[in-house]
Amino acid sequence: MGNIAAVVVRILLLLMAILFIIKAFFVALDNDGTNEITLVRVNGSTFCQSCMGLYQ
Amino acid sequence: MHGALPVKRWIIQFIFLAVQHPFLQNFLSGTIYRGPLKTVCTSTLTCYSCPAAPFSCPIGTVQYIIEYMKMIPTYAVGWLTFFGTFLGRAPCAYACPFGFLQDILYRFSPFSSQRCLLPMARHLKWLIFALFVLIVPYWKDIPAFCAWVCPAGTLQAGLPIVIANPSFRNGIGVTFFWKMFLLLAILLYSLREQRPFCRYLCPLGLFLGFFNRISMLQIVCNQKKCLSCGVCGKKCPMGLSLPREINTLDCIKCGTCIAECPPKIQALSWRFSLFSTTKTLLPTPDTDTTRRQN
Repeated sequence: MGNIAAVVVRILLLLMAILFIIKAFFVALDNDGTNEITLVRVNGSTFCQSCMGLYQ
Repeated sequence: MHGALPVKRWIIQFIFLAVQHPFLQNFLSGTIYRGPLKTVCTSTLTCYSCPAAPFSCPIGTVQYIIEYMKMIPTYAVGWLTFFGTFLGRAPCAYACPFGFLQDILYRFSPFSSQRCLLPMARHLKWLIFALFVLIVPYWKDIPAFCAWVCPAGTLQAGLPIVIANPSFRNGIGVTFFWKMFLLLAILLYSLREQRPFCRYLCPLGLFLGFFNRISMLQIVCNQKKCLSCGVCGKKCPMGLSLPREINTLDCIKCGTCIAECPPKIQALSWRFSLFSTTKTLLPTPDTDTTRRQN
């Protein structure tokens, strides 16, 4: 029983993870059509003042 | 210095270090990579503002989405759930560059000790995760972990960019010096105790640790073979009581315990499977006690 539950949980987690990742590409977060992946890319492509310790 | 060099793990760690920092020329120019790979989250603390980094840090992404959109950061959570379900906290042991640095410092330190000086401080990472990764970014619009805590960001992004890029030097203030102090304190303490940041402070390790019990990669202990000799526990880089705490929240699945298990016993081993659990194979505290009494 424990084995079956663990396998079900693993499969559900993997499905959830894949859905969350796919959702970021296709679901718009505002009226301009911005999706999560755009935000991640913009954030990753800027000099982060916080990471550098320059946040005042 | 303690024990033999974990050569295989160090080779894997070095490969991941190279894969996660391919754009070394950016260290000289003080610029960062801005290509499509930045949409991919890693499972380690690899700062996205590091000049050499092609990927995004999941903890940085979580804070940014919470701060900017006030929503659950499903993309970063999706990546972490994906990695966690397969590997649990193993990326901490095999892929995290900051973990690798702490391993090196401890291994070659003349002051290293196996004693865990601050066992209760393990719970600090819950506070760091809740307060600095979730609450402050939501409430005060500040990516608090990146801004005030993350030593990996200071080392990978802050120092090289400030050194190579004069325009950023005007921004140096109290926060920069605080982060430098914290980085130095953690690195110095790494000379005394193994992986202090991973043990006490890392919110990413905590999140991946949630999957440790259920992940497909497991360390299994054959209860029939285990003599409870305690050799594995003495060498654990996370200071865990082994084999009882194998695959628990703080276990980074580094495999040191497997390597240290006496060759004639080999009670510990790896298992990677979708279809099996280790629950029945792990020795319980009661059986440990019974065995010692016998």
